[in-house]
Amino acid sequence: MAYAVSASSAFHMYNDFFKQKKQSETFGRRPIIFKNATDTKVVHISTFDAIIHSFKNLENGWNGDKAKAIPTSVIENALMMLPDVPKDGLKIFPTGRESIQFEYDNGDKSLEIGIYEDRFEIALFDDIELIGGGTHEFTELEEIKKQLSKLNES
Amino acid sequence: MNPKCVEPQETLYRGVLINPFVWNDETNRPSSAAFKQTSSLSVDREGGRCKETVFQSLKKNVRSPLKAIAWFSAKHRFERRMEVRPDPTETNQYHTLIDDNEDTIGVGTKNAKFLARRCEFSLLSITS
Repeated sequence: MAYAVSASSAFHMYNDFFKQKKQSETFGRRPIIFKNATDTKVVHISTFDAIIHSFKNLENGWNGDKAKAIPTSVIENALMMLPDVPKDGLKIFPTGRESIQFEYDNGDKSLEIGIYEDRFEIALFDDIELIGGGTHEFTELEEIKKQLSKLNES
Repeated sequence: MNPKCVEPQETLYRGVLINPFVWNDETNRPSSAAFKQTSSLSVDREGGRCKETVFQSLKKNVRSPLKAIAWFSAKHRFERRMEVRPDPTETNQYHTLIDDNEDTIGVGTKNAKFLARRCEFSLLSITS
């Protein structure tokens, strides 16, 4: 399936994507056709990329409350981190804290990676109890692997 | 309904949007992302209404289509020392705000996880 990317098409792609309930089975890459006045090119982006790109279209109040728009730099940071995280079990959500959340949940334990403009925050939970994590710079991506290994410990 | 404070026996309700999707479809529960906010988090207090009336009111007030309506007891306010205060508006006398505590505005990681894991919820049909 090919999409012509316009100002809102990533948003619609996001809608279509979730209507198909495919966030948990998204290892494939789908072709995207970028068009402008002078050029047309086809690139391939993953559905995870598409989800993150769709957050560009969230305006202030997007959560029906007082959430602010997701800053462009946060979207760029999330796209930058995406190749370095496992895709198996990954869920991606916008938050009302001007951040993007990468989330893994095995039922008992869960791991949240909150991506902000200038940092990322890891929170490892056993049910509702915070058992690990911390605040890191983007040069410390290895911390994610450490916490993910704890997530998968029995 | 006490206009000055929310009593522990009350129930608080919040709509969870369809789009953007803040629902974890593997756990079939709202993500904590649905409850995180830098400013005070809006909920509706029950205020002596039946659940169906609360649902209708929330769907009208939120305006965007809802995936679900989540609810939790106000007694958690006391257990977790969260700040819960009535904030009636012209159009919604049941509007209430939640903060992490009296010194910290908004809802952060720990309380958002708590609300996501402990809330009860009702899934809504797309047409409802």
